[in-house]
Amino acid sequence: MLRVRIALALGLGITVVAVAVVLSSSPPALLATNSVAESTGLSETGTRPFRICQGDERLPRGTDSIQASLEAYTGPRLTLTAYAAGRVVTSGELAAGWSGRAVPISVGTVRRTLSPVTVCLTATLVDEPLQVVGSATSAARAARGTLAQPIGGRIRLVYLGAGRASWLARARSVARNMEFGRAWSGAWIAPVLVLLMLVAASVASALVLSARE
Amino acid sequence: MTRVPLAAWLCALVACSSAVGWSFITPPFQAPDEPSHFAYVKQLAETGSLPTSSGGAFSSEELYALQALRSALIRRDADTRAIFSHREQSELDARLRALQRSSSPGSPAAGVATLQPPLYYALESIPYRLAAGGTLLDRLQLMRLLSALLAGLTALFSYLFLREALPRERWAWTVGALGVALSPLLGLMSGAVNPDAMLFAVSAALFYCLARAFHRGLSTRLAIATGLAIAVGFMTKLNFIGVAPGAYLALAMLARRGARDHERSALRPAAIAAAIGSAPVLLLILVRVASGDGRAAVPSAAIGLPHGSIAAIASYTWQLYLPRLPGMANDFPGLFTARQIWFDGYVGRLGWLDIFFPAWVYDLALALAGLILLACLRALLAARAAVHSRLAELVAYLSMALGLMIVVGAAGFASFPAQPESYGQARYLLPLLPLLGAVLALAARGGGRRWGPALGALLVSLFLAQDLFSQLQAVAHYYG
Repeated sequence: MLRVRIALALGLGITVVAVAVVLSSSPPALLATNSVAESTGLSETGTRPFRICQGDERLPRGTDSIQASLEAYTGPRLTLTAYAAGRVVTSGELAAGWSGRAVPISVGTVRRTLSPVTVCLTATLVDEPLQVVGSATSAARAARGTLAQPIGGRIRLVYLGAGRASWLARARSVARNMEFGRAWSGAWIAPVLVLLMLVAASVASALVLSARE
Repeated sequence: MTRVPLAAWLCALVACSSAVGWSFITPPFQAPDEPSHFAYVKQLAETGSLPTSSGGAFSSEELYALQALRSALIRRDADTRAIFSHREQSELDARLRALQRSSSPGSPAAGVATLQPPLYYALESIPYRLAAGGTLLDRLQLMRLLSALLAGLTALFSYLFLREALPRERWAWTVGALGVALSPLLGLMSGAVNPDAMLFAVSAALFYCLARAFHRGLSTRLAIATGLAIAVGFMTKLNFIGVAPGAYLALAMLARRGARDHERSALRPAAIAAAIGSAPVLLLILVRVASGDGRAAVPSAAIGLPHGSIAAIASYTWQLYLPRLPGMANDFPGLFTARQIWFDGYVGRLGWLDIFFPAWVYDLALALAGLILLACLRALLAARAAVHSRLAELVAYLSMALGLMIVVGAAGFASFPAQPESYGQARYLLPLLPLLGAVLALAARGGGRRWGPALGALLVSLFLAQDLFSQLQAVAHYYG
């Protein structure tokens, strides 16, 4: 029985510490966007390998992930590489299997603001066509596809870096965001969620401790 | 039937608490296909008839709610907010009330839900009618709470299944059932309006009935319960078609065993179960034939009749779960489906599959899952004599699993190649949750008499952490 108590205490202890670490960390903060609106679907990539490059970007200092407005149901492995004056200034990868639009791609932290920068997105094994989203522009300003052909416009890019306010510091605003746009709206939602999780944890722990031979 | 132990009820309470939490975390209509399922209930509750169109032209009330809550935008950009203040909330509620009064009843279009059988929706009509005086959002939330109760049933029947299937060590039943109860995907889907919630519960009930029959023999009462579980499954969701053949195989095995051990009358309970279970399908065919409708096999139409050769379907279905074999065309280039669709999907791809953890979490989960499997194998090896004597039972469960996987694969092939993996979502395999519970219980037993219970405690805290961090991830996604 003592072993069960110790194991449970260890498991729950690690969980509590992990929660504390997560809550004291900061969510990514928006550093800048390239001011391109997600107003239209520019093109579909097809299911062949592709490379899309977009020039005239400004890469802010502190960028550690970049969102590109590509949409997929189960996306392929994506590689993002940023070039300045022909040299790679940062790069990163997104593992296959992502879903949705504008999923952040982690890149090496950018030490100083760089401009102009060309951002290239590459996928070699493509399972389904990806929707490329942004705004239509002239061919001269447009992003370029695999064969350097303009794709009809510019892709929206969002540059993210480390935030300053921790999740804990933002708890009140998160709780307030939860109040609206639902049934029975009010400030009670967040405390009830905490209570429900405590009930689940307490009952599960009691069950583990009481279940013997 | 014997009394349900308190521990089973408490496991049900844990599952309910988690699902209720998910029902509050997930914004309206942000769970998979919830707009379609809500529309089906609206049609059934307000008109008493089934939806007739699989289009997305829902009722004006629902369309307004979807638009006012910016549901489509939130799917693409979680930072989108629709309602910022009490005043805006009041305006939304007032407008929804006005639309409820003025719009015509029902919703003939119910999107992807249209061809599903009606039982879950009929059940959801009760909370829908109970909250008829409230807004659409009130009705949706009350319906979600009913689904959350079904999560409790899933955990309860999983506990009872483990009690029958692994009768030796009761502490292991708790470990397995809590692993089921704390599954984030069970919470997400049962905290939403979706017939999956009822399919999980009825599948767990069926697993329990069959395990009890294999363990104690198929009495007439148990046969009736088994038949009812099969019938309810058929009337709940089309995917049950995949589970049913394995259940019939189990009944055939039970009948054979009974006939061998006793006499010919032992065949009767199995026949009763099969007859009750098949009744809804036979009734449907009879009604269709009587009404001159040639589409006797509605289910095949609903899941989408595959459009390729048998070999192509088999190849696709194989690759949906397993690595491609030599000679197969590559249907999932760049994807390791077992890992990226099923494993990562179960560990945590939430919402409309757009909420996920950092990549290292899935790597860590894979390592832990490997250890769990090793412990499970150790327990199976230690009990190989018992495994051998219960091979028929094991074959029955595996047939149910295989049948479900084949149906999911065939349904996915219907949208191939446009969306090769659109039907590949981990939730489609959750009717097999009791088997996951069994793996966890066995893994805990793999620790042996000395360390097994402690290993079980660690497993429970691991699944508790998974549920907690999944909820936090969803909160951060929608409200952060």
